[in-house]
Amino acid sequence: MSLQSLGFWLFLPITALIDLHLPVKWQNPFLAAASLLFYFYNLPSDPARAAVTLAALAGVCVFVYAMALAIGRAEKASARQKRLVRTGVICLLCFLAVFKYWNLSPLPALLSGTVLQKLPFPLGISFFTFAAIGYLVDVGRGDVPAENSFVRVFLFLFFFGTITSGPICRAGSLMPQLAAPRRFERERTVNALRLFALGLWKKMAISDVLALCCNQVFADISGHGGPMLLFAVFGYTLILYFDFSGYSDMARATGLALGLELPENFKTPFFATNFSGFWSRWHISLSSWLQDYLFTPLVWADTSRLPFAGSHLSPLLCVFCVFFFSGFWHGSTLPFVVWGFLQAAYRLGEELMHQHLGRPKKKAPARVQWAKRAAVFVLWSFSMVFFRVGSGPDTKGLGDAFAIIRGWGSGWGLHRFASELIRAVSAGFYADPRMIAAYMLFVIFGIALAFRLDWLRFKKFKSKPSEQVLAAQKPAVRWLLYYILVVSILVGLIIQNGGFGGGVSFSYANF
Amino acid sequence: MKSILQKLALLAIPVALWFAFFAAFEPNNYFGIRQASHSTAPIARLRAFEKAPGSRVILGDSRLAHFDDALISQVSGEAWQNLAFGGASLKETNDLLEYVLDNDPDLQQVLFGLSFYTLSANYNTDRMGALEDTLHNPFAYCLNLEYNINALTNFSDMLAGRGDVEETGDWQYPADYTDADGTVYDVHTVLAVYPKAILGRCENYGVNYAELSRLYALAARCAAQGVRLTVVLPPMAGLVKTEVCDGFGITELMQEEVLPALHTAARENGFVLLDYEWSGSCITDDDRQFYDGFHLDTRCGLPQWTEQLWGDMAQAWRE
Repeated sequence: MSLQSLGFWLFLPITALIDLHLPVKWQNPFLAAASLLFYFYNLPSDPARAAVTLAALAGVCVFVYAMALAIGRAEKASARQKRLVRTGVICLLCFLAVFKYWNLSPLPALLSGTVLQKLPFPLGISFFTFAAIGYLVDVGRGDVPAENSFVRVFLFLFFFGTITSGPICRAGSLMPQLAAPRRFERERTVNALRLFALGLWKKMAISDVLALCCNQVFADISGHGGPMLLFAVFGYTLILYFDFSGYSDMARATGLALGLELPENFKTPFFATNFSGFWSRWHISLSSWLQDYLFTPLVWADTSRLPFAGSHLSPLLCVFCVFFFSGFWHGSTLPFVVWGFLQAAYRLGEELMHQHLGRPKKKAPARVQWAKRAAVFVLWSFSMVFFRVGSGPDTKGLGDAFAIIRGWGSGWGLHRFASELIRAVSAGFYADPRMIAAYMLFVIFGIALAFRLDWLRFKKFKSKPSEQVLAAQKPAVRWLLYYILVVSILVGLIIQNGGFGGGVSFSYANF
Repeated sequence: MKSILQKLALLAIPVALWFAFFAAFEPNNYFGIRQASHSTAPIARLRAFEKAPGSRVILGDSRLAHFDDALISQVSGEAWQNLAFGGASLKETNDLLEYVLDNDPDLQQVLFGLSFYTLSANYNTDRMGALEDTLHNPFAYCLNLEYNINALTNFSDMLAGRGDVEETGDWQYPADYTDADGTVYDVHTVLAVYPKAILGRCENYGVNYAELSRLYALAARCAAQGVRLTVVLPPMAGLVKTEVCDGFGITELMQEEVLPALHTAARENGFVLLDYEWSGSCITDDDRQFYDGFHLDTRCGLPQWTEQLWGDMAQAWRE
């Protein structure tokens, strides 16, 4: 079961209907049971591997609960407390590393024939581990009290709305909400429905549909010319954005439906004019987590005892480390390392430029802003070559990434591009001229509308949440948008055979 | 809450309209709202089978999918249910045989289509699982792209007054014997160019022995359950034999190895083997009686072969 599956469309309203009407003391246990049920549907089919997954989750939950209490009981800012926090963080990072990078070690070969030869990859491991680390650090800093309720800790880590791909929640924000009673509120429920529809539309009607064409190109890099390879890379940039932002909208909507305010993850990132702004708008829960729990400690760390380090690390070095680590968080293979390196290079390049040329003093003219946005988009798309190669089942490694980049220089011709585009749509979707034309119109319309809504959100509504942008439209426009969303979601569902028999999932569910 | 539900109901109107359109025009009669379906799609035939399993079924690919049910009844004096569908591989036909054996306690007779083409190891499509999903899951059926396109096509055919496309032709020389590049053939173009279309599948030809063995095991099961199994190799145009089979060694393989093995298996496993592919049939004029290299003309060839097939089947089982 995933957030876009038909089963979830029943699961969520039933869960919300029951949860919001239960006596307060039963709400969290019920929600925890619902989260366990959701996770049950995402366990490996092999019983032994499912047992390993469940044991790992139970272990993490018990560990985090007990460790937070121990940290909370220790004297504030004492050496013992710091030691406990360090131990907790290291254990959680080791836990993450074991499951994420198991296959890089010689252990699978040594444990051949056992269930541990290929460790299961628990759903959401990167996300709940980071949430757990943040919780322990926050307790150590005194920002949040250690939670006495095991159920609340369980929900904070494994709430079904966020378990798949985040957003990475902060204990200081979510725990108080879990401790408070939750009741039905009309306006909040309507916003949840609006947001869920928006997210589902982005995922099903734009991202997954566009992917049908672009995946054909990535499966046969050498068979396509430069323009088609460029198209696929730009296409993938949009696919990832609409997939992940769509998922994030659905996750937030799930929280809203249950009376929980979850953090936003995307705020019109493609209208940023520099990478610093981009990263404050893209996967916000991760970038802010990295800022608070990696960058800040690194910058403030006393390195006077380290050789050649000085009293503190250079902020530029810290920026580099953060983005490099971010690459590793996404994946253990070289393409992700290169992707992280590129992000670091972009940010460092920007900082160095500002240091030497100074920051822009006044608001730049519109054409300069658009040129900057285009530059950010192009550079981000370039890095997406490596991200896609690292993510896709049809690409193997850095060689494929460089093949794509090399391919940009050849096979230029309008006729060739047109025939390759038609061929890709024909192979990925349907081999009929009318259907191919309909597909292209559908995709173009969807992307145009999505960016129009993003632009409205950015320019007129100063990046307020998407559901509020929708709510602020005139009734006729709002209802027209509702119907467009409903029909587009239906068409997107049909294009993918309803998800039955297909491999439709969220891009970030593998992290 | 009530107002939310009311607004959701309004938003559900396009979905309801789509569903109504789909249910009205989908060609497979999935919901049973029409008397019967003329579709040869596997889903239509399996739904009809589920509703009313016949005691005599036809299984195979498109070469057995277009029999005239009324003619069969007239020739054999019995009603047969056709579950054959275009593009069915040997694996899929075996899967279907297993399915009918499992689900039809009154099964008496099975006509099973086989050919050198479906025996090819290169041709191993496996859609039975997906088919069963759609069969038992209305959501999977309604949201299937192919079936939605079929519904749209059905609707536009209805508006344009177009009937079902039949595989038949009143070929006129030279128009129907001349290709787009100006080449004039001895037979009508659809037949003449057919061998080229199947060349890719026939290169590096090898027999799918795994599925062939499975067929023998299923045949033994039929015999044990008292089901009369007739395995038939349908006629093919001489052009296919000379331009494809001879060149790739398929003729030699079939005649010296596969067919003798099939005859032996027939004796051992209690089924009847009728070979019209390599041993000749009532078809005497490929140009008139074949639509293309594999498919008989539904007016000039298929009725004649239907009579021959059911006559030979009856005689074989009498013996």
